[in-house]
Amino acid sequence: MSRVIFILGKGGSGKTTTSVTLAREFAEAGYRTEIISLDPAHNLGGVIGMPLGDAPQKISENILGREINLEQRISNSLLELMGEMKKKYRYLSTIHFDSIFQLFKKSPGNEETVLAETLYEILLESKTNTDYSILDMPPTGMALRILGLPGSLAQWSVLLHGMRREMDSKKKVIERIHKTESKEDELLQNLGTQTNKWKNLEKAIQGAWFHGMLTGDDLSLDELKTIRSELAENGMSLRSASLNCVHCSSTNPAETAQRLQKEFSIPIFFPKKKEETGGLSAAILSPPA
Amino acid sequence: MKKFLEILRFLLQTIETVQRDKATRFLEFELQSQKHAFALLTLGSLTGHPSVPLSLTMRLLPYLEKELLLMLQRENTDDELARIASVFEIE
Repeated sequence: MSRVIFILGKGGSGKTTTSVTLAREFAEAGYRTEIISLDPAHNLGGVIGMPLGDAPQKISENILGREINLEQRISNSLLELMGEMKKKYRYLSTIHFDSIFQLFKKSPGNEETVLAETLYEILLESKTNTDYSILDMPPTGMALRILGLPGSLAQWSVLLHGMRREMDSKKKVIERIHKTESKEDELLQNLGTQTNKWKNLEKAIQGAWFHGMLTGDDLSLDELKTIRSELAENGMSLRSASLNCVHCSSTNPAETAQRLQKEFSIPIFFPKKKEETGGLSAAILSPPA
Repeated sequence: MKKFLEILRFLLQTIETVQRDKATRFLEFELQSQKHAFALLTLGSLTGHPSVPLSLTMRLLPYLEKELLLMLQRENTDDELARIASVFEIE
């Protein structure tokens, strides 16, 4: 299974540039790497200078790249749902499912759930056979909602599954007494599947490397503190951060990085040149014990 | 004699059915209440009740036919008190 690195931070803090540079350093060290952009406002294709689609494409030796097409994925998931609804509720043919699902398309939480399902596909069902997967995340708010969703959906699924199992056992007792039989409960089976899916995804995300971006100003600093505490609430830990000195207001980035390192108790990297990560790839390739 | 045995068999079958119904009455009442709670929990977000995230409800929707019908059924004026009295045999 591929080792996963999440790149988090404010919009414009250098997430995509860092993702690409990190991927290049891994590839030069001989590791097959995939960069996946989950940001609906993609920059990845622009940074590398070639258009990318939802399917993995070869960018250069040992590097694959893709930009997740969220709009298409939401449509596909709703079409699938609509197909199943039409099959199961065939007798309700007068209901216009199309208009109902147009409403669902823009419902709160739908984008985040589809991206969380995309994460499941990347982390647990990937066929690209890479050593490292670098996930260029959306800006902080959306990124944290996506990362926290599997845990919350797992909790709800466990609750509903438990209720349904209890109802099913009562139903079986009644059927035994009345000597009747009914079909297997499809919903119970589906809830079991949902529970396992979200629990497995939550576990896979918790095992990933989380890297934050700083731009040297107070806003990005406060945002990194928020990222750290929200990740901790979901059983995840911020492992490192980069000080992006292209927009840095600091006159001495080395001193700023050292100070931040003391504050966050994590390594803070600052690239001296735009084409390097300042030691991030080495830290990930051989993390301290 | 044959007729008498037929009547007796019919009587015994009726008694058996009544006894089975009595045996499961409380369990069925409990199960019905749980079904209502489950329907409200899973479909509550569609009626404005804060509950299961809408995205999870949507993914369960193909399997919630009975729950949907139950929610629609509850619109009708059921005499809930009479139903409870009947279950507990209160006159």
